Amino acid sequence: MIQLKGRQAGSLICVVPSDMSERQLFEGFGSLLSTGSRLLNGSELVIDLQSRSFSPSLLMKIWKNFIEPSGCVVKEWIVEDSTSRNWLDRMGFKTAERSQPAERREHTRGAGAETLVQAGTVRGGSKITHSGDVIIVGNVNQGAEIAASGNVTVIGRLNGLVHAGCEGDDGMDIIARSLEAGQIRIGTKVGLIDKDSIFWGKSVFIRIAEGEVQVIPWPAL
Amino acid sequence: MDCRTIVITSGKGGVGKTTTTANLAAALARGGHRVVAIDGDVGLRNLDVIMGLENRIVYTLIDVIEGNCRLNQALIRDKRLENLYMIPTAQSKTKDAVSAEQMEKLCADLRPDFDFILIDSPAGIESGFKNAAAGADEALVITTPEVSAVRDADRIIGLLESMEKAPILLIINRIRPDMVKRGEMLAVQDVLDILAVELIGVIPDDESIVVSSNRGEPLTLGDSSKAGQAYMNICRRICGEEVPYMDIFKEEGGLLASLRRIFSRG
Repeated sequence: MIQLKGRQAGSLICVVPSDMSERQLFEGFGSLLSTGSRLLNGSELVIDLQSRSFSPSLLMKIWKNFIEPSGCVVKEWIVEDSTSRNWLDRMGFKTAERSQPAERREHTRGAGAETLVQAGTVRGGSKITHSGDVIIVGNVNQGAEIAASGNVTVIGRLNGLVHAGCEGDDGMDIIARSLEAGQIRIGTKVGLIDKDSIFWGKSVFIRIAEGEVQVIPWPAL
Repeated sequence: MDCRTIVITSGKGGVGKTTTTANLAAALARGGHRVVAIDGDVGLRNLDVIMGLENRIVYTLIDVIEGNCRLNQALIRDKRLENLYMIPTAQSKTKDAVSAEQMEKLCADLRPDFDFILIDSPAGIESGFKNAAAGADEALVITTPEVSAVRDADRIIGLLESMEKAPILLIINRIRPDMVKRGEMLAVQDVLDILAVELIGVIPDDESIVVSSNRGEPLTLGDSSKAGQAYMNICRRICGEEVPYMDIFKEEGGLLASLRRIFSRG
């Protein structure tokens, strides 16, 4: 499945898994275009082709059928395959090598005690600290704080401050039904989210990838 | 009926706690209930002015607590409604002049003689608020549809919940339908989504409130303004009646109103 993610720098990253057939590739791009057109239009996009080899004709098909109609601006292509990179260079596109292998991390359970499930709104001024995962079935209002050594899931509006992996674990995730917080923290990283961000008010999955806070629409586009 | 003690609070200042206390006290008294409104904002009293009783103050809440007078000497009876009373507070003291235990005792002493005790709380979350809330069983939280007021109301609701006040009911004050329609003001549902408490009333922004406050005549004493009607509806809901919410988004009718709308667009 082709995934679209947000980066701290404000651009989007489109990850194209290597194991997709050509038909799956076009279906994936087609579905991304239909469901994510509002996100893509006018956005800066990094396309991560991973280790797959692309022929010039396939690259042109992707350009014509997906990138041009989406209205996005391609900032760079990340390619591991040298032949594909040569083709893209010759075609005049900016390419980049991956600084480290593509991350394949499973959603891990937070270390520590049992999962804390809190039903109801967490109001401003209150703070929940827990060793382990935290699930909030309600809103986290402005001024409220959740600090968990594990993952944090907010099945409601996230308007307050959430710190997943608060003991320094960058491998933890935050899931929110509606992201309306200006700042989120995972492990040692702080992510700032602007109100104009395309992810504001959306369901998101947030994690640290390649050393930066990455926001992924949830369910993934 | 058993006496109900209700604190009227908000967190943020200037959202209409005192005006609401005065209007609800008058509305409940008009409904035949024996009502006393207590000004809990020690050092910054205003309830007396809004109820039009400022010239009749001899003793205050602090005098009762310090033993300078008996409780009934501090009770000021409204001349317009015979079952409406007020206990003013002192202007020359600070919030520390009263303790939570003293407020609890004061309310306990008033209970046998009244159906409703309304306590006007000061803004903030410090001792003034805690003392005002101490004597109450129920709470009315006032907010305006502004992000800062809603945020403070959220904080106050959290504190009231921890003090086990129930029910905690919400009044949204100064709503402006035109601004809500334009998306420039939080809508009632937006506020409810954030605060997650039961709504008991919505008061439209109304110039008559300012006029009535300056004159010392609560709107619920007889005025038929929209805000006055909204307060009357809240009063009926407090008493357990099912009252439909006013359609504050309905535009005024008539030729004059239409002309006013046409010219105001320009």
